[in-house]
Amino acid sequence: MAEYNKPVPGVTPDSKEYWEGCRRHELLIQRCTECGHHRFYPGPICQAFDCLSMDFEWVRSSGKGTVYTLTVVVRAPNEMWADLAPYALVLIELDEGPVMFSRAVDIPAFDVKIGMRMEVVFEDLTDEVTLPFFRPIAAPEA
Amino acid sequence: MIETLSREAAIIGIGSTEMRNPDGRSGMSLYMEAIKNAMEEAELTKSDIDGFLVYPPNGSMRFHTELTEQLGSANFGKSLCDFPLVGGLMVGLAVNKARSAVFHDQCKNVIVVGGGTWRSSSHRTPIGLSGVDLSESIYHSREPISMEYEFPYGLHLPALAAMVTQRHMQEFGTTSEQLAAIAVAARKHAALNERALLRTPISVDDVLSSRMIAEPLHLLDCSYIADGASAFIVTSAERARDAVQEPVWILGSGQAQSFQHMGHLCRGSDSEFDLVRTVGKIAAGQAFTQAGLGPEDVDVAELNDSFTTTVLLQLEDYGFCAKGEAGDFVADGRLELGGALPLNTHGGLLSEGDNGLGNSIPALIEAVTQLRGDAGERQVEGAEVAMVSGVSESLSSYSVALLGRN
Repeated sequence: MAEYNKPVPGVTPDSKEYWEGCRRHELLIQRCTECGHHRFYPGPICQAFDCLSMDFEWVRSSGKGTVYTLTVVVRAPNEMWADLAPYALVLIELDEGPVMFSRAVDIPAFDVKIGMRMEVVFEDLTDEVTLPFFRPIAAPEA
Repeated sequence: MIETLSREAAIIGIGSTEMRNPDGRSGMSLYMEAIKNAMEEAELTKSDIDGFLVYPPNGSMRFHTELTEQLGSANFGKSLCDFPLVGGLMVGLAVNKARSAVFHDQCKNVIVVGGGTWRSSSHRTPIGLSGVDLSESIYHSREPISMEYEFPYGLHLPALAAMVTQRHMQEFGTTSEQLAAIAVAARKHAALNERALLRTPISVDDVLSSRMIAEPLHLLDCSYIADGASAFIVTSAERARDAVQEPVWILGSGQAQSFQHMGHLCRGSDSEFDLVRTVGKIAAGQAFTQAGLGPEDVDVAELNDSFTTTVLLQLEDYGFCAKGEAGDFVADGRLELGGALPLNTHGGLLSEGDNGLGNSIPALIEAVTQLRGDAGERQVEGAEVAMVSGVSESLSSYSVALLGRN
């Protein structure tokens, strides 16, 4: 695998399952087994307004969602990212509810719009790390 | 009950360095110059200061103690020595702590000092930003960015603010021209401020034709990184009566913070808050309630402007205009001297310079200067009430202070 020159996330006891899911190209989110509320990013307690349950299950997200907002980064944070710019950073409102930060792929950065339907796609960055990205949903959805 | 703290403490001394540091002086040296200037202006000696609230220039958790060591034996014993290190809460946290300390006789005089050496130092290198063209703007910190779930995608602070901006534009039809008016006003004021780093007047077109950083934010929508330090001294109402300088009274202050991860910022506790409806509303509400004032009473506003968007959101959430209407509000020179709400009369972070942690202190110093009537060419005539704010670059933490003239 080619040398990946950008930062990769660290793994914590709370996020281990999530990152392992990514390596299998599955987008895992947590679902409270008491109230059914979904949450992302991984954490130990339910985030619903009035639920203190620490019981949860990992469920596979549909991987589909809608662009809540975005920016096209023209000026990269530093030279590490310069080869990618311009790139579109997106907040994706997953169909299950949580909002995820990601980057749009398979579309010219300036073509991404708020409200666009997107689906997850995985990229293996290193032998250990796979990140979820989002691409436009091509076909009309049923 | 909280009203009891209104006018119970006052600012009796201010001091600053220049916003530039060509000789590469240490942060400690800049801080000492600011402290010395504030103490000399207030005609206080070292032993009069028994409270220190210090924003460390490099994030060190020991700097505040080292700073008092550097001052020497007069400050061996003090009743307050802390680093109120919460992005955006600078004004609120420091003003609240200082006011409380002098009101409850924990301290006689509290000095608040902050600043940094972001432009000159290698502070950026450890956070992965080496090699950045230093003539450009705000890539200095990734503190508010999640290392696991955001940074690996290539997020920086202007991009974060840009995503908020895009959402505001989508919901309310706000335009880049409207945002640019905020930068134009700041620059116009900076031209009247010798301390400001960027003093050449600019037009809306200049902002729009400056380099795109993260759509829709241009270079001139972002603050201008500087070196420097600034300080102010707070004392009790009783001591303020004997102050050499005309006291400027703390009428009210408030603070509020939400979350950090951008996905969570979209999800307020109810329909009241989200990415573009911020908890700044809570912070300003507390300050106004304490002071018994409302937005219409503010004569001059020195609001945090890490980005033009930062001002836009505050104008709405602090109640100067309705939600979604700030774009129209900032047009027609309303924020300029002579307008209905002169804003950032020193040029703000956009044009005077952004000196890092504690970067709300220059705004507070400008408010004090205005209320003393010492602002010279940029004086807002008859200014009685000033608002000062601190806001995190991630637009999630807010603090507001209302100051009044003697």
